Amino acid sequence: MVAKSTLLLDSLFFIKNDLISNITDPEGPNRSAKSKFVVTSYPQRNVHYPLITIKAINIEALRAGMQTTNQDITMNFELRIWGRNEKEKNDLYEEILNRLNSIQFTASGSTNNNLHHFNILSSVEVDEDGEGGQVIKSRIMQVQYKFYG
Amino acid sequence: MKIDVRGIKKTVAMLVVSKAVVNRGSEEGLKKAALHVQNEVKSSIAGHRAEPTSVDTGRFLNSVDLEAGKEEAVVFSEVPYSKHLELGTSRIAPRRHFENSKNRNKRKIKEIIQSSIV
Repeated sequence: MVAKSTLLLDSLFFIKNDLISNITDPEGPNRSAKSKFVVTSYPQRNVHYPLITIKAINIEALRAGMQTTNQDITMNFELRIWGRNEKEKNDLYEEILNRLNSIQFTASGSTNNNLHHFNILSSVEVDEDGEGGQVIKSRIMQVQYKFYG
Repeated sequence: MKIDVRGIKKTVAMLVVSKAVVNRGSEEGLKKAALHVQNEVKSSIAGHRAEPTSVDTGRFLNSVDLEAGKEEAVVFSEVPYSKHLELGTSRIAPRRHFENSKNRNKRKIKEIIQSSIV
């Protein structure tokens, strides 16, 4: 359950844990113990693609009324899908998109964890040349949740 | 019982005039707001805001342009590597000059447009 006092941490870990449990890692058993599939920061060491990074990029909080400390909070997250090829990137993107959409109103889903009003604000592609001739494909999904409290 | 509503024509005429004034003001306000955001993005690229500087030859900084229409304004750069600087790559962290400038100035943008209408 996302709480106001640990809003950022809880929100990031809700998304991260759900994706770890429900999105299929294409590398599966081939992924080394030192490498993670879903992370909440840009890794500083060499990574094993594919990879999903989750970051909170903006939080806005508006007062919910004149006589209350409650706030209407809008949080924007960036979910970046890094893949080794176009198909891998797109498949993972669609899987994540469908997953986050489908868990909005389930028993342990986002709304019941105080993350409301799920929206996808944008999906942008950024491809680049990696080391050793490897091309790294990435798609950046910006999603938004609202929290009241 | 009979109800007389008076001044409808005058009210409609007043609303038509007000609409034109609001439209003109909002278009002008949008241009001013876009200019403000453009300056903010350039300041961010130059390292005068929270983001690290992205100036080397000055090409990226000088490429930030804007297009303003009646209902929409866009601040952009057409330099090919602007996307990589803004969003980051596997080797460099995102700088988010445009995104952060937009987020920091949402309130100011509304104020500029509102003051142009009133």
